Amino acid sequence: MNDPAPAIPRSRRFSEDWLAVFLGITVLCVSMVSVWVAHGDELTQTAEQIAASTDKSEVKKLTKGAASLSPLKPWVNKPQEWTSSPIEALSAKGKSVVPGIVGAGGILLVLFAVGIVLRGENLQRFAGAFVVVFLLSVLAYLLASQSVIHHYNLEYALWALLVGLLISNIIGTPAWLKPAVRTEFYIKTGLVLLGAEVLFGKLLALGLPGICIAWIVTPIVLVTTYLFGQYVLRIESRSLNMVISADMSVCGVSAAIATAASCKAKKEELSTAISMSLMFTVIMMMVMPAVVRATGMDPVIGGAWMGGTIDSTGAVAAAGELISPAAGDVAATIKMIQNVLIGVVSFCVAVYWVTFVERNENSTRPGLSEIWVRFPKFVLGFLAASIVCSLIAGAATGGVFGELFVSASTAATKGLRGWCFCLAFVCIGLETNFSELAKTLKGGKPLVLYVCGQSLNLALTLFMAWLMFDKVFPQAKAVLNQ
Amino acid sequence: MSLSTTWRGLLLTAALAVVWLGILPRVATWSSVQQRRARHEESGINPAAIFYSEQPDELFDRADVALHEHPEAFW
Repeated sequence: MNDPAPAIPRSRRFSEDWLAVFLGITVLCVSMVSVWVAHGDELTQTAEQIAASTDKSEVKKLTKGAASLSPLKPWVNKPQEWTSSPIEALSAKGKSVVPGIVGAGGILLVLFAVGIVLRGENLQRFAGAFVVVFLLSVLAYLLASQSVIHHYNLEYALWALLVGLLISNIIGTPAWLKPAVRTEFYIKTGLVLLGAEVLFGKLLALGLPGICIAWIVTPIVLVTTYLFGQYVLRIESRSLNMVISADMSVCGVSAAIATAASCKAKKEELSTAISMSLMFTVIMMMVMPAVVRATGMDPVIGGAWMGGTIDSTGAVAAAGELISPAAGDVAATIKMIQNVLIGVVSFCVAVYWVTFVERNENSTRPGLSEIWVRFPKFVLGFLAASIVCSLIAGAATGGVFGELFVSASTAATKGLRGWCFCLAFVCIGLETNFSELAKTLKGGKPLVLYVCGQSLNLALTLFMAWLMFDKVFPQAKAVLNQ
Repeated sequence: MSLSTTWRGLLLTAALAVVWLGILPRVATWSSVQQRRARHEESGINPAAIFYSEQPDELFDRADVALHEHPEAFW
């Protein structure tokens, strides 16, 4: 589709990467300032009460209450779980979530409209099309929140993709919708918002065993799987290989999104990686608890094993709970530590890509200026948000105030981040046809890569979990099992 | 919009309606599904979380308490 003559010369337009950084950081700043102005004193008092309290249940209650002190939170919501009628999805605890859904749509419309104006594109055409793409995202969330789908971990990404794919392949994506089909823009902005949730302090949540299981095994599996894909399977697309390796070894959908954006993977490659990951997640969350029970494995080791291997964050906790509360908690904590790795992985993949993969055939290695030009700048926004929020969460008032402040500030932005990803997956579907998707599965190599990589992941993670909790830190296992 | 496109759209809508409004609500009444749902609700798990920040803090309490009360066991 041809836009009318742009008002701003192409050379002076903002790049999508910098715009994503600008918009994401603006949203985070607005959220933080609103929390500070509206509830700063309340948060300070709560932090003092928590620091002075010895009653764990009171601390829990105070923490939970403070985390929801965001003035923006009531204006950002999504459809809730429903069983027999989608109408149920429009209310939570007797309160309507419609203002929150409309509010999220309104905030994102204004946000991306600013981006469109700064890029010198047609605002009117974007706004009209955006409303429809947002409604398709609402439909995707509605499909994902049906209780059977919700409890079997078939996440919204899959349904958003399906909604888009069905429209583009069965009806055909209308041309007037295309101004709002902005996959990369939505993904990059969502990733900058996600950065605020990547808190490096969480890395220490399970001491040295947690670091060894989540931060030593995971990179080994990622690199080995990628090399296996390159040199043994000889997968044609390096980016497909990388996205599958990352989503299988790190943490499923969120890692796939971050890595795909860092290595500039094609949309259908991201779709393939996520579809495979979700399919194997459903299988693994059923099979692994059965294996743990059948072999009489210790719940802490079993939980750590599942936490390090099942891709999806939600499925990990659900699978662990099938064994015991201890297994569920350990599994969720290991996955949390692994989640934090996506910032580092995203940065390393971006550097590797611009330095080694995208270089010209003639040149040996690009210079620093060339690396800077090619580097996906949104990764800097993602890392900046992560570092700043990690510092705030860890530093102020012994960490208590800082943690409460970050938690309250991200209460609304994580909802917006979810909508950004949902919009992106609807757009991927709208831009993809089934034949392109089938091409990425050519020869079954991606499937073989996933199965081989996951097998290595299962073996190494089990070994490390056993080594850490059975041989090196048996006391930790005993304490966690209490 | 051609007639065939309209029909394809209607068929697609009907298929989604049959699955989500007819089949899945019935599946939700199966005892295994209800047990799974009850277990998740009891422990506060969000099975559809794509990042740890979408899970309740209570899930990480065990590790937090263990690490603070027995730091020597983890380092």
